[in-house]
Amino acid sequence: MKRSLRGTSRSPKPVPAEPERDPRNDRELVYAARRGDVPSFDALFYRYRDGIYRLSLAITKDPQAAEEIVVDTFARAYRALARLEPDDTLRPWLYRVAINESYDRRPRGAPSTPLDEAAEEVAANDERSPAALAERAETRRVVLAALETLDSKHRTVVVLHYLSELPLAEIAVIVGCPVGTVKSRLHYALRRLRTHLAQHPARPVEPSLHERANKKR
Amino acid sequence: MRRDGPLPLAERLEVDRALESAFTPLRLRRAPVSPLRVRAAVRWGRGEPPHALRWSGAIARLSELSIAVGMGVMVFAGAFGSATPTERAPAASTSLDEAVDPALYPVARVTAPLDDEHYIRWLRLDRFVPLQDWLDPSVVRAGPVRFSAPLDLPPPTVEHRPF
Repeated sequence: MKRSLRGTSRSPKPVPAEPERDPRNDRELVYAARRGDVPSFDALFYRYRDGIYRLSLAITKDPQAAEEIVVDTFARAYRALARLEPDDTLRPWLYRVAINESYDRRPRGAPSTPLDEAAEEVAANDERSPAALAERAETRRVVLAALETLDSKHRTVVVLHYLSELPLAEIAVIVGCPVGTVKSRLHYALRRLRTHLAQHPARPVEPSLHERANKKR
Repeated sequence: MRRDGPLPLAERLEVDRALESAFTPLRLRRAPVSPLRVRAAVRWGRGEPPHALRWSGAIARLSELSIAVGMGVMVFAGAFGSATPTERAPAASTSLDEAVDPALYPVARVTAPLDDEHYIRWLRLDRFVPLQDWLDPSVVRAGPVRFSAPLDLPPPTVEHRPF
């Protein structure tokens, strides 16, 4: 049995088996679900379930809340089936709902650390020395903590780009602004993150020449 | 180099690597959620109730509500109605408040204690009815002894009594 570095062992919830991927596109599935076809709605659910869960988990840092957000997002999708007109993909609509739900449920106080536990689980599977594993886990923790220093609109763009790996055009649809604004937010966020990480004692990234010069002054 | 523009490529790659590494564990996570939970949340497959059933349900709710309102009104009316004394209006001919002056009219306004054995009878008869057989003549003033009212007032008669 796997044990996390903190000595607490928690058996992960079993993930329901996913059926074979439906070859139909989202529009066809939405129209079929609108007629009451349950497997079509389930196919949509399995297609986007994990992405929404990870996105919600990255924002809320609460697995329980992330599960509820998945359920709520698809419940809203079901209620909106009659008026949904997806072009090719339903993803921007679902992700937008999930982001709004996540920020609604995001705890106000200090964030909990389930993401650190996730890092430890992966680290336990890795075949490296304990020191290297600990260093990697610390780096992850520092980067995620730096991400928390960003405001919501910049954090959202970073999470959608680096975690969900969405193209900038789709991120622009999700956050409801032009692609240029998304690029600008991403650059600003990366610059802030870099400055923050370079100043940290763990130093996940090396400070630039400009930053070193500033520090000497 | 402009400090508010895009990051240089090398610096950008460093941040990219750090973020990729930080999100790797999260990317491996899968949602332990079944579509059954969504179906339960939206009550998929239950359908609309029949028309007649819906009407009967509405009528049942309405009757429950009316009974509840009636009971509530009864309880409040009983509680406040018994507690508030219902003073009869004084006769139209009395311009002064002598009709209700206890100095002029020795009406017994005694509240019966709860442990009084005649309490039930007291309630039934109206507590403001002067029960002469209960009154102690040595305590109740019977004469028209008053100093505040004008002296030219006619003496009180039985008809002027409020009760």
